[in-house]
Amino acid sequence: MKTINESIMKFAFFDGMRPEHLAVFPEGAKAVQFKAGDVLFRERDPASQFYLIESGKIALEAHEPANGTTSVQSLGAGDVLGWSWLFPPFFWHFQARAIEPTNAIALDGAHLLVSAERDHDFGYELMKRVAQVVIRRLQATRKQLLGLQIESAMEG
Amino acid sequence: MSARATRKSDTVRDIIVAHPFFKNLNPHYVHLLADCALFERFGIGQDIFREGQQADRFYIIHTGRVALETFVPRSGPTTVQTVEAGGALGWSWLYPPYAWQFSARAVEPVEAVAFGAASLRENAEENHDFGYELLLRMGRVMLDTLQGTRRKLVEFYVRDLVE
Repeated sequence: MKTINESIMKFAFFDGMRPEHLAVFPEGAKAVQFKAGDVLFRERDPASQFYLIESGKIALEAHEPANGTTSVQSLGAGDVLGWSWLFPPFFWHFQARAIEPTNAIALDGAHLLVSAERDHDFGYELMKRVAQVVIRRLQATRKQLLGLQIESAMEG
Repeated sequence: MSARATRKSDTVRDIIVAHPFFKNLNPHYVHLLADCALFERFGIGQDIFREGQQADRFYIIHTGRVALETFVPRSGPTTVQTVEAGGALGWSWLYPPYAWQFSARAVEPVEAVAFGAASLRENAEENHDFGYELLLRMGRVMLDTLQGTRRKLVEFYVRDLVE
């Protein structure tokens, strides 16, 4: 447990968080390993975990029978992944797949959500950080849209 | 205060209380919202905000429909999400640099309530019960935009593959 605890604290996501709030995260946390090609979760699966990626590479993908699998974002060491457990309908909107061997910590989303509901100081801290990560993801996605358009124009 | 002003502020309060975004909100916080709220109307095609401009408002949509757009070089303004009556609009006011990341345009006549962002942020920082309630709801709005933008990206990838 001590090792997991120390690993968790290394993530920038937790920078500046008060000790009593930090203490909430390790409960129910598990160290998890994925081989290249392993699926962490599939679209529409119930969302219950919050992943802290220690090493490796994860692709976030849209999987459509007609068009195959399309990567929308890739995440690596130091990134956090997954917040669908925070909001109804509590299922994943995309698929996550390891594209390199990956070590991660899986935090218990249900425990975090219950803790947030019980202690709004904690909940506020958690949501502030999650919101910031979501904003960064949005900026990245918008840049990808822009980049894609430029690439297409150059090819055309 | 004139009768007209009183009626207007009642209307804003009524819209806040009945709006799905604030469903299950502790009634105690309604005044924090109503105190920094304004009723606003937008005609078809009118900009509610533009990418890059200062983000100092948060909107809940009472009636009408809004397109959230981003400009892309080859396709022009591209809608990544539409927000309808009952929905909420805008989250760039939450964090510096407080600049809109997308543009919002009324695609139907819109009636909305606009909240002053500085007041919302101050109240959230001072009162974490309110802050949690607000951020939990904002997170949902942001996630919807993120999913919508990613879907749009997938659409473009697939289109380019087909082309």
